[in-house]
Amino acid sequence: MSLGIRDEERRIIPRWRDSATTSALGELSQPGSAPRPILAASDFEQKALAWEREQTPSSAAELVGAALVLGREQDAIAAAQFLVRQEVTVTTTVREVAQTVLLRAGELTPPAVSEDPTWKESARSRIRHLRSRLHDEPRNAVLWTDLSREYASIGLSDQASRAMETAVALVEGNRFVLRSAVRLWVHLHDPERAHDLLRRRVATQEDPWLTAAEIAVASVAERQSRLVKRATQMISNELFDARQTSELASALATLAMKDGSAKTARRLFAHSLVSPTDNSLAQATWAARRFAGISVDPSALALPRTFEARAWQFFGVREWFKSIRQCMLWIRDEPFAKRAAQMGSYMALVGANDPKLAETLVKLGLRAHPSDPALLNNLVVGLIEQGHLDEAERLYHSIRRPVSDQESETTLVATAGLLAFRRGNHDLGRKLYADAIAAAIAADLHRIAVIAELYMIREMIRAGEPGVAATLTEALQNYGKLPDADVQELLGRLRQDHNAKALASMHP
Amino acid sequence: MRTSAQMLEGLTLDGGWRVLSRIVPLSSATGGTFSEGYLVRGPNNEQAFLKALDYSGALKSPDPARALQALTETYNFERDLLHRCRAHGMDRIVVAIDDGTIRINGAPDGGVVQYLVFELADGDVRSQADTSQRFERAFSLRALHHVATGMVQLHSDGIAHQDVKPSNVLVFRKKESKIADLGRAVRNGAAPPHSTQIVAGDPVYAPPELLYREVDPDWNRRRLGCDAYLLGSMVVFFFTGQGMTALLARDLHPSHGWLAWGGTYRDVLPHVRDAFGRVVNNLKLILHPDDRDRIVSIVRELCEPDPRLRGHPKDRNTPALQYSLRRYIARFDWLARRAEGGLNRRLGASP
Repeated sequence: MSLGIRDEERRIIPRWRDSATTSALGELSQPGSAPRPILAASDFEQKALAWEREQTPSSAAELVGAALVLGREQDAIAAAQFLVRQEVTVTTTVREVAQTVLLRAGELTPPAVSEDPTWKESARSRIRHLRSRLHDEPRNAVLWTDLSREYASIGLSDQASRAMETAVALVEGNRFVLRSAVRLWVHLHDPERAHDLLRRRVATQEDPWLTAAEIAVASVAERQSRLVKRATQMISNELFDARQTSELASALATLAMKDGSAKTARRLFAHSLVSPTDNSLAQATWAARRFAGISVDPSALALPRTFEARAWQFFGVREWFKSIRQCMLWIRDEPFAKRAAQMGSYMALVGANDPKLAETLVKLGLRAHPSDPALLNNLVVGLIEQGHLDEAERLYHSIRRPVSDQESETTLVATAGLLAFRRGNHDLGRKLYADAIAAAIAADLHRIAVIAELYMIREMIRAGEPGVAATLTEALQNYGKLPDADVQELLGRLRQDHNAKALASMHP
Repeated sequence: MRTSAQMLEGLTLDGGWRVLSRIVPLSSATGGTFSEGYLVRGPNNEQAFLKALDYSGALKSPDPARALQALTETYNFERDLLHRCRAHGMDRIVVAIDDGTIRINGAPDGGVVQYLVFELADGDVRSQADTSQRFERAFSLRALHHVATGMVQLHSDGIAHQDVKPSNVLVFRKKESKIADLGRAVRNGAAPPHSTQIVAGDPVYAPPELLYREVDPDWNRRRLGCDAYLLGSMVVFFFTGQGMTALLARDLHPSHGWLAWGGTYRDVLPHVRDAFGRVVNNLKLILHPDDRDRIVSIVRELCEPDPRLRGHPKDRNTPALQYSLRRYIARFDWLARRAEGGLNRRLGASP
């Protein structure tokens, strides 16, 4: 049986993208009052006059350089246009500066944040490039952070950790580095370290993005955040604009939801959605799935890189391939995001009935999580569905079973049932499925129990077992009205399988 | 209506200087907004450049008394610095040959004009670029050698120039470069009016820490650190056609730029450093292979975004020497001699 929709808990742990993308998404602007403009009117006017009088490449180059430094791009458009003309011979650098002036003056269309996070080069080649730059720039904390991300994306946890430690040692309160470090330590199952890192920094008390991360990671580490009161003030005092406090409001809303303060949670989620990030949007859509009164404007899904939220939206309406596509993009956006690979491979197996596609998704996830039992379980199921039973069995026995993860353990027992059925050992198969269902019920994992039961019925239909029609009818009665899209998909397929089997038995 | 400073044509000044013609200020002309330039002929028939202080702008300001006072103090400060430079034989600084005051009868704005006379230059370094705005390698390196020498001369007398930029590096006899315009210079222990400004010189070339308004109370770090950056920026200018600050502005995401950033310099520094790394990487691609490593290393040391780490690695840990540019004189000289063909590549050991 496949495993994928782990939707019980979600915290707003920072996304971790490369520095250029994070900047382009506008998540690194610094809160606080805007600085005073640089008083340099006379310097600029002199250069503007010189350009007007001389109309030479030299005076144009001087003016466009000044425009970029002083934020006067609008006043240097003519000079920049002059410099980008083919017949004007200037250095490549001068031409590039002129192009930047035109871009910032709105004369050229800026490139949008790419919706496809796929890199042209492999992770290994990006690592080579970053290491080569770091050889010359050993104090570049941004590069160390990007390098750490590349290592994490291919499962080299020790290297990722070392690179991040270097980055963290080089900065005081830099948001990009600290939030990335938090994401890494959570990824490496060390939320306490992530929390320690943040709570020791002064910037965490001043920067709402860091405060949000501290509150979220404290929750993962099962600690109490000491910044909740301060965070509440940051929002109520309106010292920051809604974009700056979107994730902070979302973190507080999630806490309120956990504490059962419905009204507060709704109010804070509403605040988080005024100008959301893709992460706060995903958090709100997650909350809306389990909590009435949180409304998410569908137009927000058009925001860049809202892959997770879109995947869930398509999941809800059983648009399996569209949802899988969003999971694929989500994995490329955050290669270490286990949930993306789990959810995508699950939908490929259960919704799209495409085990080959599931295998592809699992393998993407395994690069960063090579021993994740949930992903390996889905790979085993994919292999069984493709008829590669020996390979599936070998892989199944190699899985290190987590002691404390009841969900994975239960699912693995059910998968053993699937394997037994496909080996022709129906009694053992039924027994294992029954064990899994009982264990799931005992652990309050009712969704898992339902899915396991439906999988068992599928195998019984497939095996042509007598009495399966009654079992199926019972399942349809019991679960036909559940809201879960995957349950309904499975029920529909069971009905089809059963009808097809019945038809086949009538016309052998 | 013409101001007194615009009425000097045809006059003969003290010292025998005959004012020939007013020079329409070019972008390459030295001097600020409050001055006029003239071509003058001296008693020995030599031509020179005259910079006349124009008070009219100050008189039109909202607080004329204060503006006038600031202008006069700035002029006096610059004149005194020029006297010091001359007295100390600073041959890489454009020093005043003469200075004085003339009264224009019937002028509407009082008629008192103070002036400084300088040796006449061919133009600033930009006039030496070819049609595609590129500089000959040997010329650039020699000019950098001269600029470094000029800065060391100033620093040895406790003066920080603060405004070294292409238009303030003048060329004489096609090959001699000198630093001009001490109008924004500061001297350790003295306090000209502009010393209260965070960015004393042209902000277009200023080091990033000043643009982010990080004011270090340490004079050396703030002033000499700025000069070191400006020398590094001149290196970048000669090989790219733009100063380092403009290139940082290009490579920094606008949300991290000095115009948008509301946080501390420490917090934005990682992004500035990253942009700096990209600028230097691009610079590498266009440098002559013979010079590449040495030039890149000079730029990294002089334009290092963290002023605490700026300067030659061997001097960095000695506070009094951290921003010393002496070693760069030798380094530019060596590079220039090799580019000029006067140094055997095998024998010439790099300083």
